[in-house]
Order: sequence, then C-alpha cells, then structure tokens
Amino acid sequence: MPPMAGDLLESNQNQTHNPKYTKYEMAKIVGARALQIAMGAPVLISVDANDPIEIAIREMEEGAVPITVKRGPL
Amino acid sequence: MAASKRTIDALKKRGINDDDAKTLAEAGFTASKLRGKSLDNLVELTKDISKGVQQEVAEIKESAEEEAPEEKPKTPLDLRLEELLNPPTSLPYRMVKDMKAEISKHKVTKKHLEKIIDEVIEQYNRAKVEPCEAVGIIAAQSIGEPGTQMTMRTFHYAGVAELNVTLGLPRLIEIVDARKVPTTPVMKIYLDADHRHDRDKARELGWVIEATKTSHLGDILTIPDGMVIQIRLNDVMLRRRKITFEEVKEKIEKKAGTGVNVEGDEKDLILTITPKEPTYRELLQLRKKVNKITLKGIDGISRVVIRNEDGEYVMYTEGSALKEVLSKEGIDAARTKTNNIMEIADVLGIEAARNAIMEEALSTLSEQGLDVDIRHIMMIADVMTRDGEVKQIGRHGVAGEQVSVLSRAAFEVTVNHLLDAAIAGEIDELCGVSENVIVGQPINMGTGRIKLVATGYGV
Repeated sequence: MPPMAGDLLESNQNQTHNPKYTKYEMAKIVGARALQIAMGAPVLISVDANDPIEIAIREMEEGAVPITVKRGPL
Repeated sequence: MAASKRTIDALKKRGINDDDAKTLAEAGFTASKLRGKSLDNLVELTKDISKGVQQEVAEIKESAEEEAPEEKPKTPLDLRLEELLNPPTSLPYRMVKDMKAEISKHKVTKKHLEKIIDEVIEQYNRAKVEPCEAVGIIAAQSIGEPGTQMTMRTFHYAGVAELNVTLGLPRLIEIVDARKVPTTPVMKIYLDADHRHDRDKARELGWVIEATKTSHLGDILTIPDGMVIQIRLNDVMLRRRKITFEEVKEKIEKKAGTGVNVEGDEKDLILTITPKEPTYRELLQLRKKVNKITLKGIDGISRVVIRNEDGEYVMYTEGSALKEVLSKEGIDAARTKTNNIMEIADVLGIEAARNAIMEEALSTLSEQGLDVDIRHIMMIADVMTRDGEVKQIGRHGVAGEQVSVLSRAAFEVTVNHLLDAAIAGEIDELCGVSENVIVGQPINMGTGRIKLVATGYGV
C-alpha cells in the first residue's frame, strides 16, 4: 500500500513526534507539486487526469511526490 | 476549645485516625504547629502540652506505623492502561484515570479492552488540533458567535432572597475586560463540618461576616437645635446582630473621634454624639462619618443570605472580601468562591485566577444555554494570565502590549504608535500575523508556516 494522507511517513519520523502530514502540510505539498506539473514537470505516475492539482493529489496518494516538509521552529 | 477542622485534617494526613486526631486537636494542637512536621517530630512537639498526650501520640504513632497503607498490587488492567501514558499513545493522565474507573466497573474481556483502548485513542487523536492551526482566532470566533445570541441585559435573581448578579453579555465583557471590581461582586461561602448542618451556627457566622452599619441598629437623627446626632438603638436589632451597646459606643468613639453619651434604659437606648466643634458643617460631616462606620462584620459585604443547598447551609453574599472571609473561623476555605477575579489573583495567585476566568466565563455562557468547548475558554484564560498578572483583552492588556509595532498600529491609534516607535527606534521582528499581512508576506500559520524541501523520486 502506498502512503495515503495521514499515513506514517518514514522520512518524517525523526523530525518531530508527529509522523503524519498535517492538513496544512498536505495542502502545501500538493500545491507546490501541482505548480511544478502545471509548468511542465514530468508526471511521476501513470494517470489519465488532466488537471495538475488532481495529478498532484494522485501522486501524493501513491507517495511519488518528490517534496517533503521541513519541520521545527521558525 | 473546639478542635479546628484544619488541625484534624492535618493530623489525619499524617496517618492518624479520626478519633485520635480529634483527641489531639482538643488537647491543644494547632495546625500551625504541625506545619512541615512529620509524625516523628510529633512526639517532641507534644512535650509542651502534657505527658498524657505524649504517651497517646507515641501509641498512635505505633499504630499508624502498623497500619501503614500497603500499595495495592497492580492488576493487569492497570498495567495495560498505564502503558498508554507513555509514547506512542501518550494519553493524558486524567483520561487513563477515568478509563480505569469506568472499565473496572464492568466485566471486560481482553479483546474488548483492546477495542476500547483503540476507540479511545482514535477519539483522542481526533479531538486534537493539528500543528499550525489558528487556535486563537477559532477561540475568538467560538466565543464571539454565541455572544451575539446572548440577551443584552439580563439580571438574575437567585432564589427567594433575590440576590442580584450581573449575568449574560455584560458579565462576559466584564470578565475579558479584567475589571478591578465586578459590577456585582458576590461570594459563595461554604461552611466547615461544624457549621454546615446547623442553621443557628450558620446564622451566627453570617453576622460575623455581614457588615453591620450604624443605620442597621436604629434610627439616626441629626438634631440641628442641639447640634448633636442621636442614635435610637433598637434592642431587637442589637440582639439579632449579637452586638452590645457598649461595643457600638466604643466603635463610634474610636472611628468618629468624639465622645458618645448613653441615655435611657435597656429597651430604649439613645446614643448622643456631639461634634468637636458646634458648627453646622461639622455636624453634617459627622453624620456622614457615623453612617459609614462598620460596627461589626467585614467591610464590603453588605448582605449575607443563607440557603440550604444539598443538605448543607451555604452563604451567599453581596459584596466580596475574599481575604477577610478566608481568615474567619468556621468557613470552608477550600470551597469558598468569589466572582471577583482580580481579588482571586491577589489572594490565591495567578493559577487560581486562570481557573476563575474559565469557570466564570463558562458558567455565564452555559447559564444562557450556550455550549462552548472549554478549550476555547482555556485559550482566553491562558492569554489573559500568561504574564503572571490578569490582563484584559483589549487596549490596556494583550492587544495594547504586543511587541510588534505594526501589530499595535493595526489595532488602534495607528499614527501615534508609529510615531512613538519611530522616535524610540523600535524594531519589528515580523513574527505575528498582522505584521506579515501588512508587509505582504505569508503569515506563520496554517500553510504559510510550512517549509518545503525537495527530495528525489523514491528517496
């Protein structure tokens, strides 16, 4: 199973005690990825959608988004 | 001498049983002597009381040591539930305690227990806010919206005694404004075990607390012909308020600073007060002074109403004087309350004030049938008290004392704030929300707070 929204994310586990992406982190990542796709970045999964946001969401669901968050104090 | 409850409680805390504690307290022990002492020092302490008691204490000590409570062995259920206190679940202590209490009431199989635990954890996590959530705004809205539904001006008459208390929106505003004194300061005084079931004792204590003014005891007449003030004492009132005419005379002489003559017999006493100088002005001033004198009771508590609540007598007062009331013998200091939050902060400290803000706000809201989550109110109370003093939400408190110049300027009197900041050479770190909105940057909340980093695909 690919990681889904709210699933454990290995790469995040040692950054803070909350291993899940918050809704804000999800939104930010999807938004950034959708922008990349809209500007012509290669899509990393096979998907037949046309909307960049939808593609980004699907990539997120499959854990293919090459972006993560940096947590901690400002 | 009646043994004070405090002493008995203090003794009991040190492992002495009920009857022995009473005996000791009656023999002249006081709670102040006990402070900071353990059972071992107790034997030495008794030396100055009497040898008999000393013997008794030694015996009690022995029996207390024998009866030292053994730790109850922990059941598998306790152990399993206590695991939840630690990561990764990290449930709050209170929740685990409640679960323990609830589960031990029923027969629960291991399988069911796990199911319950899973459900509790799920519900707990669902109730948490996520990082970056704008909790302050949500709290403000969650209290503000029900506020619009509140009846503007409501007065509440508590029971037959018609004690007047400000409630509704005016009270809520009063709480967040952190007024020095509320419009209607009231107290609810609980009584200790000796007094709480006895109507007469409660009544008597009521007179110790309620302020007795001169006008309560009879008519005060200003007689311009003779340049004197006369007080016709009503002996019924004197007896009811448990005060003698000698006491009245003494008090008036002391407070007014002039001589008082007593005439008449038991039934009809007349006190004549003569001003120092026989001028009309002096006479009127003296009259004012005499009116103000508190002959008995606590200044500031103008009325005491005693009511029977759940089988015990409780005093409601008009006016509040927490410090004075707490020092009176016969009251239950642990349960006695006032609605004056600033007074609580002064007497009991900032944590007590935080609790008082929460309780007052919550009860004001729920009194009108509005259900606000306590966490929003906790947020407000925290913001108001976090600097160690109660601050209002507004110009003279949290909003007016923000570090950021731009934030303050955005709130009120923009130009003055900017000018003052320019003169003082203030620096704005742009940490808050309004500053960043002003300069056009993303704010440090929600998605604006997230920093992204690129990884490779599959990394």
